[in-house]
Amino acid sequence: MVSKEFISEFAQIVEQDPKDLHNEFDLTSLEEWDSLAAISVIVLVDNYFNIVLDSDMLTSIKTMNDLYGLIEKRVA
Amino acid sequence: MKASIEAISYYLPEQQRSNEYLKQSHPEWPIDQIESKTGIKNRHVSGEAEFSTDMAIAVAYQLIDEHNIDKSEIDFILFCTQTPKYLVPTNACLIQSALGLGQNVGALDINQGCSGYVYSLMMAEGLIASNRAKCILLITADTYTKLISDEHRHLKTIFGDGAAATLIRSSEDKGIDSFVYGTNGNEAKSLISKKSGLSGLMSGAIYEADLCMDGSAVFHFTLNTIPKLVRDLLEKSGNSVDDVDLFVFHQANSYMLEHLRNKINIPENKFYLNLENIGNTVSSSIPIALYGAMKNKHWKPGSKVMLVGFGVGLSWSACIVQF
Repeated sequence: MVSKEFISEFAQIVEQDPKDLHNEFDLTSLEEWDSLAAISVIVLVDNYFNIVLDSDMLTSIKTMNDLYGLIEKRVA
Repeated sequence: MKASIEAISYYLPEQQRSNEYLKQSHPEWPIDQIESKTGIKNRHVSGEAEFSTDMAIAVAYQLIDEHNIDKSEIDFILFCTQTPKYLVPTNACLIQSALGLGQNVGALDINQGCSGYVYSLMMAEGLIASNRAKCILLITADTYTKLISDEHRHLKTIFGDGAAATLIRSSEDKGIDSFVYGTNGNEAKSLISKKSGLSGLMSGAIYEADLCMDGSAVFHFTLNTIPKLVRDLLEKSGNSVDDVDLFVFHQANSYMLEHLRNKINIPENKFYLNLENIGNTVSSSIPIALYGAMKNKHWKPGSKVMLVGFGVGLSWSACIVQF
């Protein structure tokens, strides 16, 4: 459900190569995954899906799949 | 009777803190990256012995001088602050005395933060509409920097001290109206200074600044609440985005404001930002921005301006002002 463009913009936020951001990619291993990144991701998801993710839930996720799960749950 | 905003002045303390300055105390910190999110390069900080009430008196005199106001016409003082010099007495009473105003003047403190300017306008409008007052001096002033500990670098970049004075008079034809407001005290913990009142004074410990903010929670609240607040106000006042000449939001941080602007579809030239050299001055941010917008000719007599305040509380409020 997430597009290539979404992943590419997400990759910019966490300063990674989009190709590396596979479903099981561990976000918590990144130094860049902090509260500032969370704010950027909230904006990104709002732009693409028109939903505002809960910041606590966002900072508690581990993998890209968890992020997709969060979005899916809210879109549904 | 309507309540019309007739004049605004603002005051910033002399001492300044630039990003370069903050960088010196936190050399390992990527402040440039923070700057690209907040849009803030500089902020003003009150002196050790300079309190909101002192800044309020200074800005009131400035308003009187700058706009040639006959101060004997003032019949009510509203002072909005969350960092009063004293809890007792009412600081507005001290302001009445310092300005040499008569004893027939009403004086009241209002404790509200980022939504405080619009809330105070609502109180002023009520006093005028009910014919209890005709000429109201509304002062907003805060020294949030006194609540921020030296280690709290994120908060140090955002908040600046400042004060603004607004003169509101009764008017036949133009004025402030169509207020929309709300509260979510369940989220008060998102922005709080637990030692800032008697609980801190009574603790027996030496005062330590302890303001803390859950930035992403406040961000989340703003994105969820403000677009609807703006839509509700447009509907209530019978306006569309096109009918409004200028939108002045609480100057929180430019990244969030820019996202809100996009989400609400407000054209860039109708959205005023001026936090680069001032920072977030809490309840004074809207009147300071309004003053700047007027000087830069973004609004003039006859313009319709929407004011939107939101933040600590959590609390929000918005209104339309016909100048």
